[in-house]
Amino acid sequence: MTWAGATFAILLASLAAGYAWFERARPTARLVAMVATMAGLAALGRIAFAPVPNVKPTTDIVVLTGFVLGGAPGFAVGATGALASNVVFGQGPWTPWQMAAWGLAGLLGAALGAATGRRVGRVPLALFCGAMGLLFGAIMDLSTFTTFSGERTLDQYLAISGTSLPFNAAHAIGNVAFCLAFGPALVRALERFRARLHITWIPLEVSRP
Amino acid sequence: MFVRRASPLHAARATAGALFCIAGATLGGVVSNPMVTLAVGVAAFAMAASCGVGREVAGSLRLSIPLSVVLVIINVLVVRRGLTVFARLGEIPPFGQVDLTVEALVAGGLVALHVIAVMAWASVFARCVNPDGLLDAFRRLSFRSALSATLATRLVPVLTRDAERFAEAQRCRPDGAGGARGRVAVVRAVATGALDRALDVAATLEVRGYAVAGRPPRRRGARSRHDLALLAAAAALVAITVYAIAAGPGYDPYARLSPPAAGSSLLLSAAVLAVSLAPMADRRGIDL
Amino acid sequence: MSPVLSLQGVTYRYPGADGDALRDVSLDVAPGEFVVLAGLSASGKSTVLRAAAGLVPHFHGGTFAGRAVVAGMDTREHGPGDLAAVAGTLFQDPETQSVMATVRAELAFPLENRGWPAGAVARGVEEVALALGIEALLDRPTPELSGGELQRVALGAALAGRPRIVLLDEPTSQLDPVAGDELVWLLRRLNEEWGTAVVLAEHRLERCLAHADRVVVLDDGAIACDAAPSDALAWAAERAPALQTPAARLFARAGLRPPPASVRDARATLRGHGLIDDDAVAVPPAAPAAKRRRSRDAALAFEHAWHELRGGRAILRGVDLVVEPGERVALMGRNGAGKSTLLRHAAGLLAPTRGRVRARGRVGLLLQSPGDYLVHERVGDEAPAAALAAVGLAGVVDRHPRDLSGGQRQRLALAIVMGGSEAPACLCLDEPTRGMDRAVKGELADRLHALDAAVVVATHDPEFAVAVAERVVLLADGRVIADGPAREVLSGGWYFATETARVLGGLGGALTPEEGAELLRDKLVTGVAP
Repeated sequence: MTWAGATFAILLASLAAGYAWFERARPTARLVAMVATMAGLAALGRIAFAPVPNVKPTTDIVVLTGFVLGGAPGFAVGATGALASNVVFGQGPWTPWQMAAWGLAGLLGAALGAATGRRVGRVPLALFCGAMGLLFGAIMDLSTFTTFSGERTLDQYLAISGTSLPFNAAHAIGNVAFCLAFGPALVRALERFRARLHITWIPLEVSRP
Repeated sequence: MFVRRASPLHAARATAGALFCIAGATLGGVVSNPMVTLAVGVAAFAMAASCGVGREVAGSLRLSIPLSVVLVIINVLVVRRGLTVFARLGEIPPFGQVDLTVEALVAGGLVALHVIAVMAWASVFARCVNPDGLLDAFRRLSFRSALSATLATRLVPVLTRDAERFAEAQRCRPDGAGGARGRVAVVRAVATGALDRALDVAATLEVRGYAVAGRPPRRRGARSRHDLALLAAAAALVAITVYAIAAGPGYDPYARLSPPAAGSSLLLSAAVLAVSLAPMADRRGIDL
Repeated sequence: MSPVLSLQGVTYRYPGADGDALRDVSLDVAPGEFVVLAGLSASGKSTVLRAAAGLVPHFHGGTFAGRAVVAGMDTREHGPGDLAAVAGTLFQDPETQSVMATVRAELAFPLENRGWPAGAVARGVEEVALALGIEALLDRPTPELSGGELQRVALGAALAGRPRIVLLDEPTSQLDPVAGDELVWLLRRLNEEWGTAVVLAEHRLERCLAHADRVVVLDDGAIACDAAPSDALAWAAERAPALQTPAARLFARAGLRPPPASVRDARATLRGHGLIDDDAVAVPPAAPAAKRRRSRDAALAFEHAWHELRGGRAILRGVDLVVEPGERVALMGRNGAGKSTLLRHAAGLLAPTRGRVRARGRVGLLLQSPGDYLVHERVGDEAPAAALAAVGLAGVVDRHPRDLSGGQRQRLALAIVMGGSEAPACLCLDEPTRGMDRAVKGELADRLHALDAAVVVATHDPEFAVAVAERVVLLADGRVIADGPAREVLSGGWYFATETARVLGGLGGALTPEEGAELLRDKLVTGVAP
């Protein structure tokens, strides 16, 4: 009981912290529009691939957005994408967990971007996305473990992970495939947009004759 | 998922409905007494029926039952406690000596009840609480984040239509769209098209005064009878939860099975049902 | 009396652009004036509006010289957020102008951003909804609304705080003509009843000249003409013929003065000269049935085609249509009449639930937004070189498709559809003229004339239909209600008629200004008393 309560409290606190970070950064209209659009795209990816269990481009979109745009936007895209897609799939106790898991994926994508100076080859990027898929799966297993399992022991967690292994593997492999296919193109498109994010203009005084 | 219908839960404010459903789901997940948990689940289905979403919420069983089965099996295989063994499976490497005990089975059954109850309430939440209303409420807390969420929800149908148009245009290409390659091209085009849309949306936000925006004003307007009823019910459910954890008829199937305390369990279950269904009784002042 | 908008010597260049978008533009708009901005594509109309809204330079960057003052606020110091209180802005695309989930929230959003208390917000929403006639839409979710409704809601959001001036950048270009006309009439009412100044950039001048106090013509970033509508039309007759409305061109070629700003003015002048006769009994509009044609060698044939939706209505009801090789047909009808569905059947994207659709060879389909075809990152990857050369895009092979102008994108989409191993026997176009100016429409019409393939164009634009096609088919409710030569179908109608036909009342079946002018000159010469 207390374990579940504590985990849930930490979860909500981290979501609040993430959004507070985004809010504090006073995002411009362009950034808000971009975050909303990429979150919408991530949600659309999940909706479009709903028939195929657990294969979706959402994680890739979130990771790559974080990779290009940075930490706070990356988190916001992940968490908001989860929220927006759950409007179609249905909210539930899993919603905060999904928001946190995808938010974390966005953050780690930003970390990768910062660490490598945004210069990563196609294959390492794809493998990173695959790893994010596994991380997402692990967090969702943790959510089942925390919310529902009978005894909170390590064995139970391992058993839950074991049953969801095929789904998580499908997710990770799907992520790798999507990233190989359109990862670099998406990064290029995002960088094109990012270049226009910060607007400065030059006033000229024209001397009138 | 949310469709506006004529029912007290739909007519109430989103925050009231959300608090009510969250209180119910928490009660269903936290209390260990099987009878009370069963009552919570039944309350959810009954409430759904009274709100016109009975079939849809019953559909949540399609998710909760398989999950329950998996968790029961895991519980029985993994948990070592319990004394009444009904099957011995011998040595299985990761789990060690596996004996299936009745107590573990019953404990698994409890988990199943929890899963069903919580997911039923979650389904009621998804179908009866207006997500835009919730986001409106959050805008007072955290303006830009909530705005991003509202905008994202607004953009999903727009981007969906864009994607359909791209896919259609691909089919119009002369030498076929080449299956997988064509689909990848569509995905790339949707992504870049979406970013162009983002620029237009940003311009719209600017001319609506985003840059000077502060916190939205506090919403005026009296609480409807449904808001009050749901808030009261939510408070009552929380009270029941606290009582059940602290002093109520708990239930522990280990180490030996024994039936739960009948009288107090029944009383609590009845209270749960009454509190959950009471707000559904009043049908006045519901607009579609 | 100080002007509500004053641009003083504004010179502006977008970041990374080769030339100035605006060159020394000076413009004053008095309170309550209705100004129409005219000019060919890329002449700077959008940039002028953005400068007034403050988006240029704060949102778009670049280099900005000169001053723009809106209701006393200098745009150098105040950003779009501040200016939104006095200047409302409306863009082209209805979909991206709604940011909230319901109409009420959309109308309340700008007021809340300005920090108004809840009571004032509620009142503001009610007032603007009633003023624009959208009170019935208040609780509807925005994804369910049509383009016209969304634009009205966006106009409401732009007007929510009672701004002194409203700036509109081609707001009707993505709408069908009915919705577009409604919007323009709404603007007129706004201008007359509440004294809001209106600055409207439009391609189809015939829609809005009747309401305008003033026309400002932009050419390549500089103001070329700033005068009352009739004078601007007279100027355009000599200096920019592509900008003339059909009625003005009719008068210019017939040698009549003054150039008419509306069909009413035109008819009044003609009546004055005794050239038209209002006493003629109204003749029911022509609804000729199709000639019997052999469908065996047809390029495209519909035989009793039905398209019935499961659990829904029938979109096509027993359509019989035969298009001969090399023939050019215009398909007209209101939104929802089944034109787009018909074209999709022709291209093979849909199959009829009853009846048959046959085509000799491939049928190419060019959908409404050419941008939907652009999936690669290089123009050269999109279509084969031969096709690109055929549409005149050989010079931009290395550019990113999204950097092309609207007209170029359409040509690229045309190259994509026409390219491929087998040339199409029939080319279908679904409303290709949205948002295009007259010059580009003319180019498209010429290009279609040069094709060997049969052409079927679905369009709302009678002038374009006449320019491209010899035969017009009218669809209503999934049925063909008229099918005959353009002259018969488009001259006597009320709605499905060219402007020349409406001015002349269908006289002599004249459809284009050239034909009408000839008719009028003949009448003048044969000595009809002035």
